[in-house]
Parts: sequence; structure tokens; C-alpha cells
Amino acid sequence: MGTLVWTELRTLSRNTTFLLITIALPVVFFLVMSEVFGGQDAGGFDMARYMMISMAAFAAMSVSIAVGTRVGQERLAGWNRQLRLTPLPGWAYVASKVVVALALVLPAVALVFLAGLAIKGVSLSGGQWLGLLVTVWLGSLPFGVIGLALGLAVKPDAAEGVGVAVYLPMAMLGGLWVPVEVLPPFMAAVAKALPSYWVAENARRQLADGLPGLAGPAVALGWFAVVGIAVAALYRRDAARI
Amino acid sequence: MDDPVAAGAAVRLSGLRKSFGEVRAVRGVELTVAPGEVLALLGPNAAGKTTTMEMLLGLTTPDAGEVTVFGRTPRRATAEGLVGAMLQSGGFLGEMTAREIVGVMAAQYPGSLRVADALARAGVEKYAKARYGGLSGGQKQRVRFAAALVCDPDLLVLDEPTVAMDVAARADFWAAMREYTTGGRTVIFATHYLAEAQEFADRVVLMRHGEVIADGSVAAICAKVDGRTIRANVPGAALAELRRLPGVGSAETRGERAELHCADSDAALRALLAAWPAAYDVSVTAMSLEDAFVVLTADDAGERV
Repeated sequence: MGTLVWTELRTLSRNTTFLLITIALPVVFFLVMSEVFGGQDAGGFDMARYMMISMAAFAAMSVSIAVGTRVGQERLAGWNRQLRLTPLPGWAYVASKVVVALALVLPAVALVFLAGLAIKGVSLSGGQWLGLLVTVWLGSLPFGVIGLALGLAVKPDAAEGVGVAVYLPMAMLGGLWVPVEVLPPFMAAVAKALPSYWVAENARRQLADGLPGLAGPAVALGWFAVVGIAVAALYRRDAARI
Repeated sequence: MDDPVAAGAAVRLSGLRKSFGEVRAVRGVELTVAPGEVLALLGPNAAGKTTTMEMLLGLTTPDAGEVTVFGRTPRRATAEGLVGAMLQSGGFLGEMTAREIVGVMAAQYPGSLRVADALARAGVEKYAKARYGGLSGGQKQRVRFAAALVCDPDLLVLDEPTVAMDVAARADFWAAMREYTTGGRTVIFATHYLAEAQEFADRVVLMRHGEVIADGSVAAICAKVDGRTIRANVPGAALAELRRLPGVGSAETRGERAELHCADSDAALRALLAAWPAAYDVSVTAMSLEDAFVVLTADDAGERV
């Protein structure tokens, strides 16, 4: 599995379009959004810091889903079929995608934080930066499996489009574009069931209290488990198909 | 496993059946392949060759029947690295290089060849660092060959390995194959190039409508279709009349050129010349594998064999 992960990271590192869309775009969004919302106040937080966390969450989410939906391309090419002829177990193929997603989330999130520090003057202690990074990083786990589920469920050539069509509304409803505090109450209720809300909220709570609390990790774990079971079923369906 | 023939066989298929909805792709295939045999699987499109290969590799589950590969289940045999395959449905990502592709495949097996060796044997060193997506059809086939043999398999399963290769590339490919099989390895390949079967296979298995309709050496298959082929230009002859000639099994015409597959070519020739004295450019030839293929796989071949 190591070679599989390493090779995929190498090929992705040569794929400029993929890197621009998944890793560079959230930084651009952060810089624009923190300009737009710059003057407002959100629950005692300064806005640059708030938007930085939101966009880091967005980066974690979009990278993970984009990596997962690449399974569509692999199904189209027949690569997963080729791998099925080797001793590589199905679970290892699926897990390799989650590992690749986790590996790419780190630089994507770090770049948003770097922009916050260097351009927007967000000032935190070393421990706080590290805590944020780890919280957002782990919070991205449900999205890796969501992307995989989409990549296995929909028609192979549509997977990437469907991935975007899922993560954009999810980011919106999760309050990453417009803070949940200014959303109407019913939308705020929806947000609290979504992992996209909690990946940012966990980080904010972690920054405020030193710990993310229980609700957020519980919601994320629930999504990870439920979608993970769906992925296992979808993988078996795909493997049984001629 | 108790049966010594089954235990010693490289591949054993018994009573194999598979349907996709209404389509009965494979209808009761029986086949035992000895270790070291080079077997060509022939048949028109949709004869069931690919489905048979996929069941033998464990990629498709049969509706009925049994598959053993070196006495194991297909899944186990592939997991132990005993089987390498080039499939029509298998493929690689265009953005990976040949070296990366073969490297990933090699990493899955404990006893694989060195990546550089596999690339060299398949003759792909020159473009090992190029993106797979940018290679020509023939070059891609060679990369797939390298990926199939990197696990150093005892059985190679190749589905139309030389499709998209030009004449020179095909010759190179079979030269590499021949080198590979001198070590006593078993090969099962499907092809539409009958000359390849004639030249490289010890044994030919002919499939039609999901069944094995002929199985044996090239000479035995050719002998199965009795008689010879008469070719002649016959001005004014209708196809139906030609088919009614004594000794003629099947006939085709293109313009005034007629091709008659005959059980008794002597009788047919006498009758032909008596009926159409103006016939010219007449030749009588023994059946080639290609003729046998046409006759045996024709839709009206019925219970001929």
C-alpha cells in the first residue's frame, strides 16, 4: 500500500490543475472573504481569524473529496480492476485513498494558516497553531470517505463533477462561507448535523477552550462510520460488476 | 484436489456458465490446460472468450461450474502471484509513467521481478519515464505486458495482447513471449490474428456462442473441417445455385468470384465446370486455420462439428 500511496502523491504533485483547484483556491477565497467581512465582529473573534479557520476547513474538505472522487477516473481507466488481480486487498485500496487525502490536507490547511499569519496578521502561539492544524486535519476524515463513496457510487465520468456539487453546498450549509450565526435558525440547525460545520467549529472551540468538546467529534465520527460502511458496500458492488 | 489430473493442471474449467441478463455469454465450458501449454482462444466477437478469461482470473463469478488454477481458487492463485494478466478491461492511469505503473504492481507481490527487469523484458525501457497517456496503442500494450509479467507468474493470461500493434511490434512482442515461455510457463491468449495462433500456440480452442466447438492442435482443427476450398471466377452463377452443387458445404460470392468450402472438392469441381464451362482462375486449396475458423464459427455451422 505504501508504494500505491507514494505513487499517487507523486502523480498528483505533477498535476498542476488539481493542485491549483484544491490547494491554492482556498487561500484565494480566504484572502477575498476576509477582505469582504473584514469589519464585522463574530462572537468576540476577529474576522480574519474566523475566516481563516473557515477556509482551512473548506480546504480540508475540498481536497479530501477531490481525492476520493478520483476513484471515478480509476474505474474509468480500469486501474482498480488491474489492482484487483494483485494480492492487494480491497480494503487497502480504499484505505490508500484516505491516506492520500490526509497527506494532501496537511499542506492545503497549512497554506491557509500561513496566509493568515503572513498576510492577515493572525497571531497565535505555536501550540495553538499546532492544535488548529491537528484538529482540522483529523476533522477532514469524514470527507475522504464521502469522496470515495461518490467516486464509487456515481457514473465514473461524472464523479468529479458530483464531488464539487456536493462540497460547495455542504460548505455553504455548514456555515463556512457565511457564518452560522447570521444564518436563519433552520439552516443553523442543518449546519449542526454536517461535518463541514463541525470541522471549523471544532477548531474554534479548541482555540477558545483548549479542547474541541464532544459534540463535534461525535458528529464527525458518525459520518465517518456510516459513510465508511457505505463505501465498503459500494466497493463490493463495483468489484462484482463486469 | 484428489484427482491427479485436476491437481496437476495449470487451469481446469468445468461446467462453466455465465449469463448477463438475457445474454448467455458462456454456456458450459470444459477445459483442462496442462502446465507449459501455450493455448490460443479463438472465436468471433461475443463468443465468450473474455468472460471465460475473467472467470478464470476470479474477476467475474460464474453462475455455475468450477474454476481451479494450479489447484487453487482463482482469487488465491492471483493473490499468490501465480498469474499475470493483460486484460481488455484492465487499464492504467494516463498520468502515471510506465515505471510507476510497473513499480506499483511489483510492490504488491513478495517475489516479484525487479521493475527494471520487467521493463526490459517487455521492451519498454525507452519510454519508461513517459506518461502512459501519451504513448501509442502498441506502446501501451507493451507496458501492460510488463505489468503482467512483473510478478514472475507461472500462468500468463492475455486478452488480445497485440491489438493496436503494427507488424514489427507484433513480431517483437511474440519474440519476447517466446523467450518467456521457454521456461515452461503456461500461456492462455485470445486473439483475432489467426496467424498468431497458428505460429505460437501448441493448442487452439475455438469458441462460438459461449461454447467450445473445437479443441486441439492447429492441424487437428484444420482436419476437423473436411475438405478443401475451391476459389474461382464463375460468370453468371447465383449463390444459391453454387450452394446446391454436390460436395459443397458452404459458399460465398463477391461479384463473380466464388469461394466454395467443400466436403468433396472433386465432385464439386466436376459439377462446377460442367454447369459453368466459362469458369476461370480456378484454385483448390487445403483448409487453412482461417478457413476452418470461418466454417466452424459461421452462424449456420449448426451441428456440423
